[in-house]
Amino acid sequence: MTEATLTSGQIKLESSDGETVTVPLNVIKLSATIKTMIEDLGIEEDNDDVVPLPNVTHVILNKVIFWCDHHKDDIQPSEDDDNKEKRVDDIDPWDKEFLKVDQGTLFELIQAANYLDIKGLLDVTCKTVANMIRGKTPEEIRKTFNIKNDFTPEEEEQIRKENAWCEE
Amino acid sequence: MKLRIKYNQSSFYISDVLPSTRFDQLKAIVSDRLTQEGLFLTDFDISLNGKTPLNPVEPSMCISDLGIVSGDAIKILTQVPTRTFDTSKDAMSTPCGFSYDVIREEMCNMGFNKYQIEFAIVNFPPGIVPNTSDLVNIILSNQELEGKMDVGRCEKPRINEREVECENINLQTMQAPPSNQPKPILAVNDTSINIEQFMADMCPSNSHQSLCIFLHLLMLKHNFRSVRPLTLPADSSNQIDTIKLEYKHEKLLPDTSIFVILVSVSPNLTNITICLDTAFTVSHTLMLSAFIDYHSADIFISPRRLTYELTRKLVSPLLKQIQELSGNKPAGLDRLCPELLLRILGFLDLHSLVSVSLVNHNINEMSHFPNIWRSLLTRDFPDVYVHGVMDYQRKYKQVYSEEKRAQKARKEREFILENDPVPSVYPPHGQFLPAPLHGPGHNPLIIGGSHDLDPFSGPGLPFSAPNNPLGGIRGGIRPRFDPVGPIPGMFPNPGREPRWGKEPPDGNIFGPYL
Repeated sequence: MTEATLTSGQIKLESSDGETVTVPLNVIKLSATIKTMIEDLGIEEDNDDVVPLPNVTHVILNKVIFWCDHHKDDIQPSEDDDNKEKRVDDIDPWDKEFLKVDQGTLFELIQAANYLDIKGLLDVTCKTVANMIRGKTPEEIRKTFNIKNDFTPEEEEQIRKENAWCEE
Repeated sequence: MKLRIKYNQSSFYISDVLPSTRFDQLKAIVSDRLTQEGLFLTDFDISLNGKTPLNPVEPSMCISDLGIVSGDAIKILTQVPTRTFDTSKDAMSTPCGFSYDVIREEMCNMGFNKYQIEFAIVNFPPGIVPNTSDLVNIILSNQELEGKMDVGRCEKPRINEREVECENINLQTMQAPPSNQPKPILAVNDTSINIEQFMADMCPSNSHQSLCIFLHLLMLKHNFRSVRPLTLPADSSNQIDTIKLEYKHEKLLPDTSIFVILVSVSPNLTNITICLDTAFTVSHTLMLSAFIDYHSADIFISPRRLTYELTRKLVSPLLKQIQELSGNKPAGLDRLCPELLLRILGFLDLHSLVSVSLVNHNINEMSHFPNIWRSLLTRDFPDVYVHGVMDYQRKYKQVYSEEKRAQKARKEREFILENDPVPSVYPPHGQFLPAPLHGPGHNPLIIGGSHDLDPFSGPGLPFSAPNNPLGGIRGGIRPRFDPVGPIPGMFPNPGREPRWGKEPPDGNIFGPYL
């Protein structure tokens, strides 16, 4: 596949529920997975090849493509994120609006971003979840995410004791 | 004397030669040495310069007469069949410039069929330039071991047995007999395994078995877990192979088994069926022929294409079916895969992390992951040197406690400073000194003069000289800052002039002490 087709061509993606979506390549190039797939499989524009995405439903796929479309011209962040300070308060307002969805969708977006290897989307969704956790008590977190408490009272007491060093 | 033997890229040493050794003896010794290295060469030439072979008039000539002395490097030249093509000279000098096509053609003429020729080429020991007679030997020895069983897919070669025997059969070129026992067990759930390594370990005997391994790895990659170890049947090329694999998908359908059944319908057609549970209710079938041929390596002609085919026609529909069957549970924080959970936890601050670790067992376990604490440590205390730290959480705890103690101490000191200032030994004085500099902490009596030139004070400011309207360094003065201050009980010399060496315009400006 030449560089020219990578910037101008289109590709068909098939979601897990059988819907086919045609996406411009310069939008979906944000997904490292699809980029690699295209390069490896040598899918051509005129071919009827469809890239199967067995882990993504079409609702989520459309959302992901919408996000990619808005961010297609962003400058790609450099790879070394280990040294970078992890801030949670630098979410782009557009993203904030985009991620005002129900929790199920949010987590599915995380999984899709992970599967498609879209770093920007993965970061912003994870930050959103982290913001939902921040400043809450364990009980509040359980309530927010509908998680069952599987600790016995003794275990809970034990962990609280272990964590006492930072509670002041 | 010691000689070095060079063959292709490898080299060996022989030491049991004497200058009086005969040339044919040397050849035998070299041949033995090569056999020890696993190279079975029957027909070769010895050369000193790597191009022209040594051809003594009599084989009984001493090697010293041929110019071979101790420490020499002997190069081995392999002879390439010279019967059918005329480029033998080139081929002899460059053993790598040799083509299988010639051999194929030659063997075809001898009455072997395609499968047998390819079998022989595939099974030929590596590192040697094949020649026709060795390949024939491989085929014949394989047939002997099969107990003269009819291979089923081809007719027996019409070849004069005696003629073959004349060709100086080297039995060492025989392959190890294919054992009738099942091949080693495949119980790998580790997807990181390299497929080449895997193929080499399992040594599939035909392309159905290769395909089976290929599919197995593909399933493992899609988070299916192998229930039973996979065993490949011994090579039974004359009958239908059926290989049954069993998987489970722990996340989506932990209670249901998924069966993959591969049936080799014919030498170049495999039928793959995937079904859920034993009821065969949900099944996907694929007849695959494009990638299947006689050799185990055939499926690697285009592995990416094969992966694509298998994923699209088998694994994706299966995953979809499983997702439907599992009721499509909505994803949640506790159902995220560990990697993503870690990523989210990595964005939390200390107190949120501690708080979230109390939510449930799984998250608690995750919250102790070293990388989280490492990033927390570098984020909260960027000055701490983290190299060589083994336990980041402990290090964080230590640094955090130290920091807390230091903060506490600082706070106490501030309290002292605020409420108990050091009292001045001198009484406040001087109506000329400005109020903010004249508090209890500031003493005007400083050695060297209590005031110096002020570059910043301008005209109109309290200290600018009246006859210098510009102020600044040419006139302005300011109290000197002296952190030590005068020694108690000692006055500066009252007669001493101030630094600028001139009496200020108004002699009264410095108060009664100067």
